[in-house]
Amino acid sequence: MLKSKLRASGSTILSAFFCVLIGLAIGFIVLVVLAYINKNNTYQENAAKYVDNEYAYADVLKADNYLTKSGADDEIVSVLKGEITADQLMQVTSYIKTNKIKPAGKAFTEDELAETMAAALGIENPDDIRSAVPVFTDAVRTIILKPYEFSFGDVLSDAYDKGFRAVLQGGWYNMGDEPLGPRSEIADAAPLIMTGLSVAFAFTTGLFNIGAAGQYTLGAFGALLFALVLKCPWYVCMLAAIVFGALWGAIPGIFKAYFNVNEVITSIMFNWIGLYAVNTIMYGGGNSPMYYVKDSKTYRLEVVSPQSRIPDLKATGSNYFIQPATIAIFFAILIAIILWIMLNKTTFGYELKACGYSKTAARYAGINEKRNIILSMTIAGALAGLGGALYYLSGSVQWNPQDSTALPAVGFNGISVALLASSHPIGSIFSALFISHITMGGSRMEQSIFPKEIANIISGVIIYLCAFMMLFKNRIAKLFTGKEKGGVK
Amino acid sequence: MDDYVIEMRHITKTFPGIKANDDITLQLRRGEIHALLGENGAGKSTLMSVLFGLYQPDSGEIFKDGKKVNIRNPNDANDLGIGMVHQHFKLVEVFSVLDNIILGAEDTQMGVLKKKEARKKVLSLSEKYGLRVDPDALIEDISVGMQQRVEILKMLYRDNEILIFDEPTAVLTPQEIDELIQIMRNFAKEGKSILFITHKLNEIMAAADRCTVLRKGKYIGTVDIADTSKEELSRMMVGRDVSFTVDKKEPEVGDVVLDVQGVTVPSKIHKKNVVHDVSFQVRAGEIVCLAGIEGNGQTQFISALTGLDTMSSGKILLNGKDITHYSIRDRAKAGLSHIPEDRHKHGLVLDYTLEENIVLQRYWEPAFQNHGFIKKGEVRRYADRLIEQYDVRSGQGAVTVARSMSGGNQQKAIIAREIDRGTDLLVAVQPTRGLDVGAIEYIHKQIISVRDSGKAVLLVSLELEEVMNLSDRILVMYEGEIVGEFDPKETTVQELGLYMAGARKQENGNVQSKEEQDDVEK
Ligand SMILES: Nc1ncnc2c1ncn2[C@@H]1O[C@H](COP(=O)(O)OP(=O)(O)OP(=O)(O)O)[C@@H](O)[C@H]1O
Ligand SMILES: [Mg+2]
Repeated sequence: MLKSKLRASGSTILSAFFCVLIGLAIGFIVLVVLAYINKNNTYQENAAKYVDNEYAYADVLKADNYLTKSGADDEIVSVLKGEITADQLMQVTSYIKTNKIKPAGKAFTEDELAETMAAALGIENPDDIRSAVPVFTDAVRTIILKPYEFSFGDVLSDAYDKGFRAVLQGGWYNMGDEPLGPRSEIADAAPLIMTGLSVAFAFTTGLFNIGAAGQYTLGAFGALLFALVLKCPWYVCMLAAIVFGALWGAIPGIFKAYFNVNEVITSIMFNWIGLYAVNTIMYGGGNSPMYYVKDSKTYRLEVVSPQSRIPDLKATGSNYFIQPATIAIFFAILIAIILWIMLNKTTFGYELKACGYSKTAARYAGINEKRNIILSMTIAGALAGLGGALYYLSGSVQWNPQDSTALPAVGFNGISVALLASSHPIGSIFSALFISHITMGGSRMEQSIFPKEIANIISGVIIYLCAFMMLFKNRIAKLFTGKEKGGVK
Repeated sequence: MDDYVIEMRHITKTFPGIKANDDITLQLRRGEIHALLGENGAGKSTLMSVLFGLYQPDSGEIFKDGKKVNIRNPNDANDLGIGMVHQHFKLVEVFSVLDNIILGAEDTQMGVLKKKEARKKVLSLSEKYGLRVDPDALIEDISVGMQQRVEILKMLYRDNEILIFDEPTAVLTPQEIDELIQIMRNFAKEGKSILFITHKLNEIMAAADRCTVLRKGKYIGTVDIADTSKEELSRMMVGRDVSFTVDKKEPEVGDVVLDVQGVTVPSKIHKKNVVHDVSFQVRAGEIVCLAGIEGNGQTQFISALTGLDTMSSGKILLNGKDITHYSIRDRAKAGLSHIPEDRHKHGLVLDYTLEENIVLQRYWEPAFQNHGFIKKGEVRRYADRLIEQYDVRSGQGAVTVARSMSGGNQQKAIIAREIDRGTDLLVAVQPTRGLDVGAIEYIHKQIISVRDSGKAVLLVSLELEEVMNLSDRILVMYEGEIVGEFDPKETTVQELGLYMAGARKQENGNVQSKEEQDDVEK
């Protein structure tokens, strides 16, 4: 019994692992394509500068630098085709350089170039040398484009060094590639676990809580209000965040229970209502007690009310591994465990899940499904709200009420977390860690080449794959074992 | 050589913990009605789902007109002219009847549905075969009987010629069953071939040409109906003799347990009342049956009685306590248990395991929880006991997901749960729907022993045989009113039929025929 259960979850974890690998592989392929596009673009841009015989004085100088440094190599000599020799080529470029024939950025015409070449090589009639002009430009072009040429290996190494490595490393290194350990990732994951739990919990009870972002915002507001204005200790601020988030979750719940309005619609609306209401109150026309004009953000927590900061994880000695993270992560993990117990071991969880699976059967069993809808949305809201507190009461983050026109991404990433964990509370811890890992990694990639949203592509692909795995579970099991699992005892 | 339109050879299909089909061979002749018989969980639905492309067999082959075919999904089946009416209907609840019928086979003109033509075709089919439906009603509002007709029309609309009926008669009234059998005969005459699953041996004897019997996933044999009897069939199926009559002693009637006073329930669809001023009593130690043709307000009355729906006036007393405004849970606590009509909609949380479903009405009792924590061990022990006692068969026992169980075994689980609560009043709606003869025999015994232990039973059944066998008193319901009360020993099926059809009505003990009554009203 237990053994088969273990084997079942083992195979789920194994298939999730495969999904992650395939997702990463697809991510890498995207990076390779982008790296190629980038390389090719640079090459083409430089190549485009040479329109027929026109090319800039500056480029001739570059070519000269190259020639003086390394001499004319075989490739260039082959371009010259005997019209002019490599020596003569050098003679011309250094002549142009020393005599500063043209102002930088200006281009030669064919006539000018023929004249200059004649002068440089001591030929009297420029027409004698005219046929060598295109050869000369070709040679210069080859020299200039040389550094931009690339092989597939270069593309791969770009994709890896400038992009994929960062994704793999996640938040374990800072922007300057100094090792940090998991601390910033852990700090980042704590709020994400909470929004993930919020969505996952609602899912299990048959509700789609797309409003985690709004509840998270309200939670952040509640926490900051009690911290910056009332200067309460951190645990009081956390409670306030829970209450504010719960309230924001309860409203769509009430609408759903009593007026049968789909919770998706109401919670999307309350996302925006929440965001703008919070921004307006926090800004207060610049006079709000929470708004610090000098930073044009909310006041700094560690300055105004240090007792409201969630305590740091005081590791013994200088444990660099986890040192500056706060104890927030433990709250998140603790709550995940509590949720799991509640859903699987208690009558309350039994009722909630029954409602999620079948409203009519739950009703038949005497379960008050209206009450349960409201309760589970309230709890989902409270979870997301606490997420807001865990983020804004940690470290030195400040809310920017004037700039925050977008809903916090943590709220929506919570959906990915829940999906990836197939709504399992304990699974949400790991999927949040994973998502925060690749999201932080994503923002450490070379932004000029790789947009950081690639992290989202990777997690999206993984989620799709996981869903596919579920659909084709049996067929995949067949693939692995050559036979369908189960069978007679 | 026989002209087989479908041949399934050596089909084997395994589910976790159980071989649902073990080397089964089935041959269907053109134009015949072929019955498929077997106990609950014998693998009938599974075999038919294999033919319909819902499951892939582990091994075995299917031939259509002598050619080997590969049916990967229901679309393939449909292309081969195979249609199926499922044991549990597969209709879109919030769609209309018409939309459900054409769904998946829509005729379009430049992307626009040609609904007018579709409606014409549906109406003419329904006319031709006497399948009464209201094309514009929503599925969630119509009765199971009509839903069934919708399913049949769905097959006809697709011009299928091999028709699979998975327990079509379980939800029909005797009259409707006769009609359906007539319809099936007409299909057969037109050259359509029919696979017909039922647990009712009478129907097999009346309708089928041949019958294939399965037991515990294995093929037992195929017999010609002309050369066999009910007794032989049931012996093949169960492996022992089954008694078709119920022995019971005289009731020892006690105090009034259920007292219904003037209950009226308004309709959700039209302005009239679906249940109008219904009053009766059920005493301890008796089985009272509410008989009637489906759709005469029994469902709505039971919903009002059990608290699933509200009523507009009237009073319900349980053991003298007024429970009219009690919540469902409070009614349960006050001593009411309920075997619901629709096992998938109400009776089970299909994604819960068998054991979780077995405590669906009791998980909150101190026996199964401690400070809100479910006592898993207790639940398992209790579930195992009921599974054993009521012979609920499934792949993995207590931890089987209810959805994967066979229909009859789902029903047995519900019955076990409700009977074992031992409440003062048991409301049983179509309790033996979908059960095999052996199981029916057992459940009937259980219901009688509930009565004999001094509890009250309110039975709602469409099956007159069951009504006559089980009940101590019969109330006939017609158009939302109780039109007569009978003692089963002093009445006949024919007489009941007249009342159920509304041709007669008792008024304060006087018998009136419909005509006389109309005169009085004038
Ligand atoms: N999808 C499934 N997953 C797991 N087990 C299944 C599944 N479908 C059926 N079974 C098992 O296979 C066996 C046969 O089921 P099936 O539904 O074919 O029975 P049946 O003969 O139609 O019974 P009934 O008369 O009760 O409808 C049952 O024990 C059931 O638990
Ligand atoms: Mg079946």
